[in-house]
Amino acid sequence: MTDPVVVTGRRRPHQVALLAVSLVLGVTFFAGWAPPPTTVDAVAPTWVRPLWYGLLLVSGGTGLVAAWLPDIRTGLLLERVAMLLSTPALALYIIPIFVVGGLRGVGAGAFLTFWAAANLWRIVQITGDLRQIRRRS
Amino acid sequence: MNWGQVLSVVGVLGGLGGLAALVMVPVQRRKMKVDAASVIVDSAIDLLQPFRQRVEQLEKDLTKVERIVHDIRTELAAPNPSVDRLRGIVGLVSRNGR
Repeated sequence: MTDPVVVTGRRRPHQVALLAVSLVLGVTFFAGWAPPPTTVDAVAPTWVRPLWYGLLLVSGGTGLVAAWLPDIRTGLLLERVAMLLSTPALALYIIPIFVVGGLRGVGAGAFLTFWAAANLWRIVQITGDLRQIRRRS
Repeated sequence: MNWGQVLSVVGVLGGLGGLAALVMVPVQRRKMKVDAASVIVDSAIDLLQPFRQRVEQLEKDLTKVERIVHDIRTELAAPNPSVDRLRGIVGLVSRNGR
């Protein structure tokens, strides 16, 4: 017997929460309301830091806009961009965590690594969805 | 290569890749719209196909009917000995009848 419940929706709460975190962190670091993490400060060259803030900010903002866009196709295209920008942004945090903290950084490091992996998974899903939309329309 | 350089490469490549993807969004959107429009046109052509076939059939029928009408007209216009004979008889009868 097939399951009668079909889970749908473009605003998956966990994804929206992570995009919001990304946006908030990007804005906070850019505005200088809080210093960047000490691990990033220790490893990343000075000019890479604003780039990291920008990646966080733009990926979070783009992803949130995509989730609320009425046009599904454009929403998917923008969501994919958000995932593409978010993944290197996370890598810029994951690498310093493990470089500085080693295995002590496994808590935050694992969380962020799986977040980045989920982004890549989502990119693959969206690409498949867009291909299907193109085939059907 | 130290970790700082690794982060620089990741940051630059990620940033450029993401920006390129962002710039490509309107292009991809337009392409998807064009694809959708061409599919709609194809569907419309498919829907019109039976009507087109019917019109072609009716045109063929009309050509046949026109040919038949032309044949009848030609036949009627041609001299017909039996009709001429009957006309002569009718004329004779009407004259004698007077």
